[in-house]
Amino acid sequence: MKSQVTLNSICFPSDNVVAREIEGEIIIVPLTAGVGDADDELYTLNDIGREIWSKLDGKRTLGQVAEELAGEYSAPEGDINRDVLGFAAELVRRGMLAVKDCAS
Amino acid sequence: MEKGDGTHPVKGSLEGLAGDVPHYTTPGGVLYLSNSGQLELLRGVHERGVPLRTMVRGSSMYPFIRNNDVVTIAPLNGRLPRIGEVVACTHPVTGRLVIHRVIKKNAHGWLLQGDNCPRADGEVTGDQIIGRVIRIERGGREVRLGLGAERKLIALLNRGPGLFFIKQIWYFPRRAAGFILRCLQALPLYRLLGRYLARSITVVPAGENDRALIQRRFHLFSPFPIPSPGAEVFYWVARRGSKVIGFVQLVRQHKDHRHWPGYWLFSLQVWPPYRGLGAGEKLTKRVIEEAQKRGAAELLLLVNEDNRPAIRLYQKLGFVRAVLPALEPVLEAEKKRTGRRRIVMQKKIEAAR
Repeated sequence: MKSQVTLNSICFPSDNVVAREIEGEIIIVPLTAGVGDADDELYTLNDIGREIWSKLDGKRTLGQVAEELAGEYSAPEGDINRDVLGFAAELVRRGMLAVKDCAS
Repeated sequence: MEKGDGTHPVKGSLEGLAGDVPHYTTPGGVLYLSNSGQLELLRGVHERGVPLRTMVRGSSMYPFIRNNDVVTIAPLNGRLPRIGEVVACTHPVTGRLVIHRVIKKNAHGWLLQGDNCPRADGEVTGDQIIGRVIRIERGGREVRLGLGAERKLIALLNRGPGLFFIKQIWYFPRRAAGFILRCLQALPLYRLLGRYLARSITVVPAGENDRALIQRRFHLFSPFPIPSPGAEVFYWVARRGSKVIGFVQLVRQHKDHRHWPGYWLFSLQVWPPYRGLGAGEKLTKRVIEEAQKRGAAELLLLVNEDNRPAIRLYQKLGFVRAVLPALEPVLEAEKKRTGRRRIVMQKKIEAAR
């Protein structure tokens, strides 16, 4: 599985995590050696992370996600692209997101 | 053992997602989940057919599962629970997530009871049982006692008073020593000696290690109540040499907070062997001093109305009983739930010169 992400990449939650929205938080529990470890490793996302995560449905490219966010937040496209790519790359590195490249 | 009592934290990490852009990262921290939130998390993990490893709170399963132990809860995956197994389930009366032992199988379900509870929880059906505990860890090591072959004997003893009596005998020396110490600590001569020894007690701001120690000892993942947005929390510890022997918090809640606006002294604790030596007074005075420095007009606190030693201490330092109308219904409801009534005490603070 490729770890490098680009705006053409499609990202989606990995099979190696359990992610749930609980009490307003996106909680991500990694599965380590077949066990959901909520003691040593448990992640939550801040507001921006939640927004990006909610759009990673395995259908949109990161570029499309960035475009939507740029429209919603009226922010410079370059900043949004950087945020989305940085966020996705970090989560891919931690095994929380899987990635595939869009051919077109 | 209740896995989550009201709103209290699940130990975890608000991990810093150290990407190139730091503004969406939050390094470190503790995640607060209510009991129902933890129940949902457990169900979510079990839907994937995998166990959940998590820290638990409470003493209802003491001594086999203790506060801050880490347990691994595996899904049942269709098999029936067995006598003696420790299971996670929704309490038949409260609906809250609990981790207790199966002590009996009845016609309509299973009878559960905490190993440290005097009465059974009641009967639960199969769909209320979410998973079973397959591993207990304490201090980084696996603990097998309570999950092995002895589990059926423990369940059998819990059906009657057997386990209760065994525990009474086991803990009698410790309880007797504690009683004798409390009697000594109430003696004027002891307290006089304590004033001499108290010169070696210092009060300092609590560092990260101190706070971690307090959390492990008193399960204080946060001050009570949970600080509202805009609240500030300050922590101090009392030390005798390098040893931490006490702890206190000053919480400044936002002025628009519904029940707890203003400056509050919370969580004053002195370890039992070190009581009567003046540590509590030093910690309280430090909080008063800090509140004064910050321009507080008054300092508030809550204390159990039957905690006479604490009330005497606060009165000595100028606190008087007060009534906050917005808080009274909360305290009355708490009394119905816990059987103990807390009262508000207030101290007017003069502006610092």
